[in-house]
Amino acid sequence: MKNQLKPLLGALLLVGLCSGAQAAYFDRVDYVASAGYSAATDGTSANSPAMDLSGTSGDVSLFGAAVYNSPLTNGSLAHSYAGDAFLSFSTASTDLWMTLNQSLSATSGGALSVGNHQQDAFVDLSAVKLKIVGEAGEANGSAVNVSFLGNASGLLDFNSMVSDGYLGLGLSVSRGNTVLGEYLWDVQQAGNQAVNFSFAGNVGEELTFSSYMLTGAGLKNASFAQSTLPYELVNTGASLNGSFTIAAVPEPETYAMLLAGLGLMGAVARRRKAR
Amino acid sequence: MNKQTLLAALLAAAFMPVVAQADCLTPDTSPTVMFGTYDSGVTNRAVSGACTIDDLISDEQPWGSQQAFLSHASQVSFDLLKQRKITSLERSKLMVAASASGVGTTLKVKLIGFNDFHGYIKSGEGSSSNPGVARFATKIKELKASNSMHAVVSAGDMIGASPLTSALFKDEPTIEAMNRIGIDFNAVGNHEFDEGKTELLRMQNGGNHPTDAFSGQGLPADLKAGEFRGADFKFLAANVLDTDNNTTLFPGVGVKNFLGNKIAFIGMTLESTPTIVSPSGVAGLQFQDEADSANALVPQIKAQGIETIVVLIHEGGFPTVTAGNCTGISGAIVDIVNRLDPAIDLVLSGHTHQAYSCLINNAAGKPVRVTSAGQYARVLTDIDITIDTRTKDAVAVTASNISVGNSTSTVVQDPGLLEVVNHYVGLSAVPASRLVGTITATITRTTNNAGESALGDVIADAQLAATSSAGTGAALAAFMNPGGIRADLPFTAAGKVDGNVTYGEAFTVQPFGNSLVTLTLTGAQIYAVLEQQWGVAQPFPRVLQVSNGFTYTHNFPLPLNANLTAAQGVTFTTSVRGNSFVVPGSVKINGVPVDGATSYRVTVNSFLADGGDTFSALTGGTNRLGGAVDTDALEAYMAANPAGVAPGAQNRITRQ
Repeated sequence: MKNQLKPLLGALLLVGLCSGAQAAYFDRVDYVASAGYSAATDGTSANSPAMDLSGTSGDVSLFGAAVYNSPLTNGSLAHSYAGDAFLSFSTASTDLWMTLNQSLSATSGGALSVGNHQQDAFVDLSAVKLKIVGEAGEANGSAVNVSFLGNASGLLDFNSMVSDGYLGLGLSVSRGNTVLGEYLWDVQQAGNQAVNFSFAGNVGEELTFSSYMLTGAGLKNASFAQSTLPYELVNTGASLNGSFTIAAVPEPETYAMLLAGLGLMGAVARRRKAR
Repeated sequence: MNKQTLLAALLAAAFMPVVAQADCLTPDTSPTVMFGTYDSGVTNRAVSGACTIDDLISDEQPWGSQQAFLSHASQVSFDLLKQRKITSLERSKLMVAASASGVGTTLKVKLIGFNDFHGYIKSGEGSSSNPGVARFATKIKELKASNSMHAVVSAGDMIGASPLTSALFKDEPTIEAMNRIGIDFNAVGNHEFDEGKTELLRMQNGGNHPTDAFSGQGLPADLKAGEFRGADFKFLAANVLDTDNNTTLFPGVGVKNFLGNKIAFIGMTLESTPTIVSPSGVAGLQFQDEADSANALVPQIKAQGIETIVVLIHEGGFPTVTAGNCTGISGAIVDIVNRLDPAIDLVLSGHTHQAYSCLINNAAGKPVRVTSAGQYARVLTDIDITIDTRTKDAVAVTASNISVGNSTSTVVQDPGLLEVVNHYVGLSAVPASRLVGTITATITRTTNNAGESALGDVIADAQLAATSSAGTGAALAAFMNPGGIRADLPFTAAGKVDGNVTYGEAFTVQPFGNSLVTLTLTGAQIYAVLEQQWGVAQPFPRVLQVSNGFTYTHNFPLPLNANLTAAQGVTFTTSVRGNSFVVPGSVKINGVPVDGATSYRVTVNSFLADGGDTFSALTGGTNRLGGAVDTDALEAYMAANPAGVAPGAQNRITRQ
């Protein structure tokens, strides 16, 4: 019985949290988004804009990927990127998925020298206007709590030959010029981070959501000796994902009931344990 | 979203890993990771248990949009990158391929279509060509299994004019069988109205028939609260107005959503349904123009963001088939499709019991695919619609008719459906033995060399008797198609007294449940009908059985007392058919020559009245009046001859 109690309590808690929780959701009003890649190798440049697959309303979808091989005397540089941002809307939550990765490797059939190579990639949801809409579509100004629950991941392999390698990401929600929630990560070491914040809002108001990822790397006057295997120089990537949920702010009496309920469950749990 | 749904979604999400860890019992071992037919160039290998990168990408599964697929591919590939199972360059290559492959830009939806099922649930009932619903279900199941994005739709006459096993139980067995198969929509046909709107609404909504004791006899699993459950699928009737409240009897449109790509199905019957259904069946209903009704719904459908539109219509045509391909089509469906809004992508038709997949131009002069799947569960139309997930519109439609088999074919019978059929076969054993009349000797459908049979005489006489009074049609003659007489009436058979005719036997002779239609023809049209017995469209001679008092002479040059040999068949199609063989002046009614300009009331069954068996001259008949079902007419005729019905004398048609 003791073993069955934990999941039972968990389920009850979930029910408690959910009941009265879902009061509103985000609706997309407008958005500005872009992504792309640019590279220049000893004066030869490459450019790859991303596709915007977003519909006229609802989900925002950006996607781009490109693979290049830049020939040089005695060898070549292979470089690539892939980046995307998906912001999907439902009445349950607004979900974010963003990734960006880049690569660089050098193949040298003889002594290979690179004067100047620079590559940069980005994904940028620079201004997504979101309106808080009530469960029944109303905009009555009632108080809600907006929370974001998510994760960021970074993978960072820069060979010592690489100069100016960088990887950064962030997101923010603001009301006019006031930042309500923010997360920034200048990735210096691979790893995972939780991304959580919450703030008070009102049904009917418009907020601005922004989210970005940047990465880049370069080679300056670099020389590579002949090698049968390519030199792996850059292997980086990042993801940022999570969900916005909007919950009604409970009335004081609801809090009291919730506390009483939790207390009761605690008492039951103690009794069971004592047995 | 309500709270329960949200809770369910949250609980489900909590147990769902980011990358589905399928068992990969048969891993995709292609050397490089393929996106559809697009080669990413990335070496394929096991990365999660036995699962390869290609397995995890799941490009073969249906995707409702390109975004949905790209987002999935992005998550899978980033997870692999994070775990250092692929490099950043490989991820870039995978993402380039994911996008360039176009996976998710289109979605293939399978439509499984049929029409004129007419309650033929029991294998072999009515004809050995009828495979029964258990074989039908197996074929549908196979088609469903080939694509999880599918809909099963019917273009009318699912019920009505059905054989004993379904008809005796008010066609509830057919609805229950369809519920077990799992179908989506049935457009009403004329026969859905055979028993009137109240009974038809009961087919949809359930509840037992108010008086018929054979109602509500289904297996417990098929009932609801101990009564007939009604259809789990939706009846559609876009052009049938209930004059009580001026709304359509059933919704005009049914919508099915395929991962955000919706298909709207407009369902309707032929406008002239009241001319082929008994007046009581269509009381309180108004039937409107088919094309106008469909076109009027198009803006409403598009306003909902739906661009793929399919019409299910119980009206059809007669195709010209050359080497298995439709090279032309005639009939009422042509004019209807010619007037359809170009937004309509596909038409599933019916009513003519033909099997075809033809192209007919719409109002914009563009060809639209128009299909029909024969009759009696024998054929299914296998249709693939390709939807552009961005515009939501159909970009390609392909269709082919597939045979379900017959009553002896090796197609496995679905046990779940067989259970329903056997249940009703058992229950109908006693009613099938009900005495409906007596005969003095075996009455056969064997024809003499003039083309006349003893049973044909009796059936035509029964039809004339049922429609000769002023109130029932004032008919002077009746014509019966020979193909509608499916068996002999035996004097002696197991389980009955000699001379008795059981309900089951009468049903076996005339299993189609056609109703009688009395119409007005000119004498010239009667001559034309008789010449169509060997007309240019006939595959073989079809000599109509005629009622007493109707006589004529012909000089047809090939035998009529046996099937034509292969050589005679070639002679028939190359040099005989299309010529005139009725002796001018020989056609008489009660001894009086039929005059070309004079009008005569003639009774035929609803099949012939619609031009069935290529008797298109009958479609020119006017002042149509619907009458009794053919077996009821035969039963009434036997009741009126208590001493026993004798075989017909086969002396009405003379061969010169």
